Amino acid sequence: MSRTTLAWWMVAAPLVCATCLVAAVAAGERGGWAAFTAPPFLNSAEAAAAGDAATMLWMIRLGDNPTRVYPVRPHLISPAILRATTVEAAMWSRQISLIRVLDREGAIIGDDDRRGLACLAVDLELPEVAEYLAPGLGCAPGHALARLAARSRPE
Amino acid sequence: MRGDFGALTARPAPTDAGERPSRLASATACGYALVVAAGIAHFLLAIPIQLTDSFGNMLKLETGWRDLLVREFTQRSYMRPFLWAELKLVYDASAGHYAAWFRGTHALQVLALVCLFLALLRPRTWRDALLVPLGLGVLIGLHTFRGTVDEAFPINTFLTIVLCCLAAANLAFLRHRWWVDVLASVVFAVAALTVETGLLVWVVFAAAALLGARGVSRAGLGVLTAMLAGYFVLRFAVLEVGAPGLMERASGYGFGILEPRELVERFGDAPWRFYAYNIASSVLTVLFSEPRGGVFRLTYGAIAGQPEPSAIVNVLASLGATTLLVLFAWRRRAAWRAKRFDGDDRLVLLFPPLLAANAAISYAYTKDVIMSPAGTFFAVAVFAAARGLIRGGAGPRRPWTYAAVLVCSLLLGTTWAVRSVSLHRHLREMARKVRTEWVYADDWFARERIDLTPVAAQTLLRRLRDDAINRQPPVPFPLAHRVLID
Repeated sequence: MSRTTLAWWMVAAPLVCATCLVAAVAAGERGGWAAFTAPPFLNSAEAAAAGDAATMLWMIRLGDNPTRVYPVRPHLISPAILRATTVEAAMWSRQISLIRVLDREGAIIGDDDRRGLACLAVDLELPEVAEYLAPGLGCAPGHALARLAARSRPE
Repeated sequence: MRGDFGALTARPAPTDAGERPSRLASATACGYALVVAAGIAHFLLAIPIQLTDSFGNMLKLETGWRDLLVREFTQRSYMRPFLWAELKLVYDASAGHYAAWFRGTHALQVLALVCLFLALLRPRTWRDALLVPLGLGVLIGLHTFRGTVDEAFPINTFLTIVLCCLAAANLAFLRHRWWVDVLASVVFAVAALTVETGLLVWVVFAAAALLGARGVSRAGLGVLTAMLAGYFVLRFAVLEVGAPGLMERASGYGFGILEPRELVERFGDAPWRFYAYNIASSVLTVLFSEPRGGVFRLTYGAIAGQPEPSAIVNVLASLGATTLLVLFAWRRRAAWRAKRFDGDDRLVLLFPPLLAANAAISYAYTKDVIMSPAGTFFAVAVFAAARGLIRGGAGPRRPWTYAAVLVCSLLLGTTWAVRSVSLHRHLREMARKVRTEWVYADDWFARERIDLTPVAAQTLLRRLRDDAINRQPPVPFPLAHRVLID
């Protein structure tokens, strides 16, 4: 191998490695290997907490119940909040548009549910969301958040 | 014209095994190129049809062929009948399977791009094959390419033009046959009537002819030139389509973006200064990846003391590739002065006129993707220059110089590798972004005041939204958070 050819091998090698990386990812995804295809969220509550609206909706369409309480891993909300419904978890995305989507999907059932969520929004300092859910509602400060934290504690 | 017209890749006699033509080497290069195309296609197919760029266009495709084409010839500012014909063709053929057909078309375009690119380079030896990763890395890693795959309307017309330019170069370098002239006219007509940058196809034919390529005959070139003149007559004198307003959209300038109002305030009395800036920045962006969209991002970051690592990688990569072109030009200067061009000379020399013409056509405003034809021929030129430099070069003799060359080579390969991986990461990010767009589609329709009462609009909306949301969520690309990746 001449000196010039060796130099060009130095150019080609990283590019070939990059192509191999891309090809491995593509093959892994096409082949359905779990390491490449596992969704980053375990349920719609986790997706909602991370603000991934499309994945949240996909999971709901696949059968997740947005009013059901799901386990949520500590890095997505906080170590104190480990169990939440999809709508409750969506509060931590701090996106009113996500709450609106869930409302349209029928995930907020009844006035009690709506008021409870509005108070949670107040505790999380989301006045716009609170106003959207239940305008002018009076809430006991910290109560809604404490209720959620209590649910997460082991019995 | 002087030079060897017949053999594009005329070479000196082989000196070692690496320079002897080998079918296995050609097959290896093709196999590698197909893996690259398949990788892009995979990430492309994961992106749903876009809401903002495509929904309005697709609604228009509900109208019949006649109305669609007549409207294109009678509207103001733009004359793009073939763009709509291409969209309508795929739309009708899809029978409602829009995502599969339109994304499938896009993936096929990428495959065609890689095939045409390789057909132009003609890798025949193991040394050629060794350079194919660099050529393809520059092709897909350059920022001007990104816009040809990360968006669609729902076919990417910029990619169509890149394909037409590559097809034109391939035709120009063939041996002359009567059908080459016919195909050349068809390619030009399709490109020119798809989008305005399609006129660059004429530049490719003309520049290739000046460099001694004889695929298209003199008569054929005459017809192409008449068609070019006819285009302007039809557009400006007969149909009075005119051109879009020169300051009707925001554009990058210096260290930021200027809104149309600011553009008028600053350049209203001397717009040529703005146009000159756009042309210069379009040239620089292809050669050095700075500025981007008319904005000097890296320079601003450096002045502020916080240069973006990804921008540094981009500039280093482009600087390395441009240096190869300069080195090649320096080594070949005597032959070029004597107008003796071999195959690699022609491929390299095709780039400057196309760069100049592409930049000139972008005078009204700068956008990276508009420079995609020049970016593609930059990749062609880099490959050909590298092939020219590798041929017969013994390499530096002093150990320290040689060590420096090896380090620079590794840096060149690594920076382009990062840029090509960056494209895939970006495509994956686009998949996530477009899916999210569809979740909030109702808000967008309300903002844009789009009438969704017709049944056709509702059906289209339901199909596209279901396709976007009901598909498996895209998994983030590995290395997604690394700072070097753009």
